[in-house]
Amino acid sequence: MKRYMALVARSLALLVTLTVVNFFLIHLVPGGPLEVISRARVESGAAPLSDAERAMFCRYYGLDRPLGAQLLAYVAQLAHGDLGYSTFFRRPSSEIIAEYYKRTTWLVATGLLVAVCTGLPLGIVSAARRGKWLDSVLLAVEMILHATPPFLFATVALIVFAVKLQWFPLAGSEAIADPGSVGLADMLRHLALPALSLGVWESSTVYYLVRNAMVDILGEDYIRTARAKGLGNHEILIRHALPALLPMLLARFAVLFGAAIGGAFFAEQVFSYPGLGQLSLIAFQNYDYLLLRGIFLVLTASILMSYLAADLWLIRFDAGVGDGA
Amino acid sequence: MTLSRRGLLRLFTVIPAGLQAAPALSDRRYAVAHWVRDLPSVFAPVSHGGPHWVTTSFLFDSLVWKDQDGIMPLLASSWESSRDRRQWSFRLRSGIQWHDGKALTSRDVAFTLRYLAQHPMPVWSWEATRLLESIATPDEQTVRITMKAPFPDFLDVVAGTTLILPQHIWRHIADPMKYLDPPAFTGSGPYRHRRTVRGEYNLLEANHAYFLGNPVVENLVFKAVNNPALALRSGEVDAASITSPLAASQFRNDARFIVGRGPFSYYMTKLIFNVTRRPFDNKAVRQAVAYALNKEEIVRQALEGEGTPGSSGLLHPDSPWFARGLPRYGPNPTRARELLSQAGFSGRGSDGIRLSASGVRLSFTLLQRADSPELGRQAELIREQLAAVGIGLTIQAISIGPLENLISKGEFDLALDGHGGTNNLQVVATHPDFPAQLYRNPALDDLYRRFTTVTDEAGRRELAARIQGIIAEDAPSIALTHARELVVFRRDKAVRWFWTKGGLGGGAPLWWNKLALVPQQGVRRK
Repeated sequence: MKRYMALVARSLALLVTLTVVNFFLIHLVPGGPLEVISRARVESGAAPLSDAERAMFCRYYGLDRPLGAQLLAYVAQLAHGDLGYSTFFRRPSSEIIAEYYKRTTWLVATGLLVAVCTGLPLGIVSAARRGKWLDSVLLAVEMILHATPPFLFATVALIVFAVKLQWFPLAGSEAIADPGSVGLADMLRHLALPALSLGVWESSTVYYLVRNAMVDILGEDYIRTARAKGLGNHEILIRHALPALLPMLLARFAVLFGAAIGGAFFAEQVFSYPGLGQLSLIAFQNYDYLLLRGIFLVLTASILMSYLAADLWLIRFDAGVGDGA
Repeated sequence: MTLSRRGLLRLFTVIPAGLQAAPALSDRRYAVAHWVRDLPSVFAPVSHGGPHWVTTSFLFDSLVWKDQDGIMPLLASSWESSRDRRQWSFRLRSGIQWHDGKALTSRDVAFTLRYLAQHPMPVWSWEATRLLESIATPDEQTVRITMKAPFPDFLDVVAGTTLILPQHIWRHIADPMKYLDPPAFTGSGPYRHRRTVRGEYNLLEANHAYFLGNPVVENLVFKAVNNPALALRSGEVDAASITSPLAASQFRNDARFIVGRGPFSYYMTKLIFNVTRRPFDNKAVRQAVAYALNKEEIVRQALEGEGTPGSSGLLHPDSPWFARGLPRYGPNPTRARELLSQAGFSGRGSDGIRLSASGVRLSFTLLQRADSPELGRQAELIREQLAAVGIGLTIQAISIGPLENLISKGEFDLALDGHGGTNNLQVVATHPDFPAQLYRNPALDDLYRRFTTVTDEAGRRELAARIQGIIAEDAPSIALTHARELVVFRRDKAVRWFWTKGGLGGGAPLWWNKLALVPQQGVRRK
């Protein structure tokens, strides 16, 4: 229990530190929401914000207070579960983030599923056939996949399947329809290309992780003993090697999850998929400080949670990594 | 169970084909690739940003509007103004209804102007509403507006941009910025709001009771796409602005599409000098740069010829205030070299860069707005052309926010940026970036002030010419290019977009005018 509590406390301390760092980092970026409003007005031919309008908006958004006071107000808001108010969307940030987070979660989950479903069996097969032609072919294919820029892969998929063949939509997360009439099939259809792109890109990471770990495991004494006892390859893999692989995979899960979020951002951009990546871009371009802080906080919390979950899981199974991790 | 090779093949071809089932509404909808970030609310902080405002204008109407020939009646059937342009009277059409069936009257117009004045919001006409002296509604169809001072641009700045709100909905709303309930979208326009999926699309449906007739498209969609050219080819959208001339040229030989070549954009790319730093505090050096540049070549290479060079007076050639006969400067590298030598930069380093007698090199950093490939190409061409006269440039591309921040703080040598509104001298005259950040000229400020208050047409024209003359002579910035507006839309759909003369809502030339979707019966020019 003491180790659990220490891990949770460490994660919380990290979260608080990163929240404060995020708060100040965003303010280091030159410009602000008022510059964006003023620029948009001028670019569309209207007059820029006057001094009176600037003062009015500063008061309205609470930007007229000193930075320290803004930080205190922010922390007080967070204590009440309030992520702040989006200056761009004119809605509570939590409401906007929840809308976009849901889509990114689907994308990351489906992408990771594709990655694990392809990378795991191929990695095992490759390790089991180490040095044979199949291993060489898989290594070469995965190396090409790993070296291919994810942007290129996604763009090719977009042009072939969305533009040429028109099997899948080019953009969006759902069909244009009335609320309630959008079904799961439609959602999956919109998710297919971004998730496949993300999954294929991540699958090479999973493949290398699994193959290398499996090669180590298959060289262990207890595997050689099992083989000497006359156990077949399948039985050795399933009864001895796979259970040993599981903790390693779980330990790496947080890393995979973090990478998948990064990958999801590029997939969202290529496929105009409105997830957190696209939302971050909107918030950044419009200096929506409160929304950006909220997004960073949610992402940081998600990644820390995945690390925490992996650590707690490892301790629970006492896989020999727990204390040292 | 085993699956034959043929069966496997069929599985892979049938599943995607099955997934192609047409989405709901697809047979009756028209999709426009657009900037969609939020609900089409009049009170969005970005509502002054053209695209959002234009989306909103499909739901709400203003007193007057514009088509391909210029200003035309919309809610108002006629109007008149006093000789001094202080008092403006509008006669509304009869029988106009809000989307909820209630009658639209002069009281709604008066309410909207007063409401805007009481709730300062980032909408175009708010500044103007502060100049309101009184509003009278002698009857249900007449509204008489008196301004505190002559307001010659009332039709453009107020009557054409203020979207009229229903009093019965808004009179109880204390904070309009936060009011986004369904009644907030009740307007009188040709479309009603049906659904918004943030970041994806705005879905509008036809208002069959619209006073100009039944809209030709039942469901209109403004859809967010990151690549409009691909979205057109895939059928995801039916019309899109194409900002890259190269991308637009690929549609010219495709019979499915019409490529609409519009006017030259009011958006101007501009080379800005830091007039507070040496040597650009010297007018001769700024003029030398102007002489060294070949703007026609920049248009030809960076914009594939789809553009026009900017004027030395900075106003758009189509502006009613555009002054002819201003100095054109380049391309004249010989004159540029003479001016640089006269300014004390007659020496040359081993790399060809000019030097002053004290060894100061004519070598600078050019900050360039990073979000446009066309701007990147313009920066490269500027570097080449200035190198030919002995000025060295290092290009640094940065995001627009940081760029404008550095410019406003004076932490730059040269910057490549731009802005819109160049057809409207009244607008740009109040812009802190016009003619260039950090440049101050009291004589120019005096001329601006007089220009915005003088009502006599000939007098204004003379003032406009003098303003442009000073800018051309002082050259605090150099107008480089105005790109041509390009739109691509499907030939087989019943919509023929057109370019709005004089632009909508403040001046940007736009093609997605709501009048392209209504039969326009009953529209008569004043």
